Amino acid sequence: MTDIALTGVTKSYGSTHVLDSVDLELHAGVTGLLGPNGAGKTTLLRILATVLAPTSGQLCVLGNDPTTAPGRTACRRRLGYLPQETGFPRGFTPFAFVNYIAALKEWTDREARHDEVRRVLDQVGLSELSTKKLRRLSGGQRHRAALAQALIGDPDLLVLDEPTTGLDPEQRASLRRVLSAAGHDAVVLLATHQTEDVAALCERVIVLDGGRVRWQGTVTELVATAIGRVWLADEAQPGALASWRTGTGRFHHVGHAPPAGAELVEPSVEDAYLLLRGTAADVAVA
Amino acid sequence: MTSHHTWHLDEDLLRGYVGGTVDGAHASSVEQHVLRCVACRTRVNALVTVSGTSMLDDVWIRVADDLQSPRPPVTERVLTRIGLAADDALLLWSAPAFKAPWLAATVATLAFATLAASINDQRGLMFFLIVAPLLPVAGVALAYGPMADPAFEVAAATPYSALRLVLLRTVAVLATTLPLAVAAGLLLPWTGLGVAWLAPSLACVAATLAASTWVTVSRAAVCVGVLWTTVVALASGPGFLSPEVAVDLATLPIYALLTLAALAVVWMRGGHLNHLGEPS
Repeated sequence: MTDIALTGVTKSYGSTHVLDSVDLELHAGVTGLLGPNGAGKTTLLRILATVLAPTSGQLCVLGNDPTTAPGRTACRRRLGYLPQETGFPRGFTPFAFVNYIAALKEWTDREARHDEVRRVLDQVGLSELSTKKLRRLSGGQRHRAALAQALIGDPDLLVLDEPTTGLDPEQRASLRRVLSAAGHDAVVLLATHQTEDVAALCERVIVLDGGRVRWQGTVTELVATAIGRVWLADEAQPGALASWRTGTGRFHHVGHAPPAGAELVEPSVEDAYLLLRGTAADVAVA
Repeated sequence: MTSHHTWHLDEDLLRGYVGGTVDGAHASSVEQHVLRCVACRTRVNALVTVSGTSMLDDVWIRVADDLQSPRPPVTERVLTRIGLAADDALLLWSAPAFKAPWLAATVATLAFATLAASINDQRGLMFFLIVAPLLPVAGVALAYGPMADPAFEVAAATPYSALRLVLLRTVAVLATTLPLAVAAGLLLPWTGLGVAWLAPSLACVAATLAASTWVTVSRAAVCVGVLWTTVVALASGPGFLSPEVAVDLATLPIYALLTLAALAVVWMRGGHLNHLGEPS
């Protein structure tokens, strides 16, 4: 069953198409949204989070049409949203902030709301800091407070814009646990620049570029596109799509032709993404 | 201490003690007994775990709740007392317009405008007639929207009715700002003019809300502010000598009509309030 379906969704500002006829289907599980800056990732997430209306196209989110007022409210009752940047009202603690958002999410019973706030703060590892002023917390801790509000009520759709930015490795591992657990039943869509998060978390990947879907499929399929195109060599290769010196002193090459004496290696999601982007750029130039 | 007791606690009394339903004297008696009687202490232990949640857990949850959610501020409690739902009071009081800096700024602006109006002549009055009606507009701009609420994007994705939130906060802005402005107006030497601005003020607030269904509320407030300033300046005539014309009794029906029309727009386009400040 399709949980989310977008058909010909376009978002324009004047003559600029930020999203251009996007067709997508999303199902339960974690899907990664990759793409360069300005690809339209945030706009796509905002449309799915119902805070931005598309200029044209059709949307079906969990069986509702978010372009109508009742459909939008129905979507929001089952939605958790983490924007790219979340501000916090002055003087708030993590508990007060999540409590405020929980009230907006129609948790009217004070006791039940407080229980839920405690649960989500515990989920993101902020229980011990729940009474500290947010302005006194680190960026990573504030980010986790912002994430906690998205988890209120175990939403059926989680839309997360760069959820791992600013987190240290331990926090990222912890977040991955939370998101993979959520992905068992819910549709989780996360935009990220961290290809290792996609490799560790996601079942499916969508690559967005210039407002269009350039590629979509499973992570395994994405990695498979790079098989036979990634090498380790002793010398740098100027003509490679991407080439860098690794910690062992050898050079990691991503490209279409192997350098002399190169040794073929297993590709990563990052290699596959670079190849995909490189191919798109080639096509664009051609 | 020994456990060689010849008698043990009655089952009902024990359950009543664990359930917290016995009076103080009986509770004290039970406590004295269980301190010395291992058998009864064991029975108490067995009873304190009910449905997977121990009394200790319950106590801890209550303590944590008290620590994590300090008592709501006085105003929030007052709002709850006068019949507002607790969650509405919480959402109302979270807006910047109801914090001390805004109220301090309102008092300072009004004091300045009143002073200007009382020591100067018609130009001072014009200044007052521009400032007083726009204060609630500024309050509304600070009560809702991306500029006022740092968590606006998160809030906009929640099911709580944006229209309800905006109207709640607007009423609160009017309730805090208007009495101060009316009090300041009554200090002026011109009879009637001190409160005559109320009608255009309400029209300005309603127009701001209506315009905010197309643009952000802050942008709407700026447009309304410019418009109102222009109206007062034009009405004042050559040399800005007759500002009172802008709030003349004959203009009241116009402001009333404007207010109703703007509120009708708000009612019809309320669903457009929580987009990120753009036409939708």
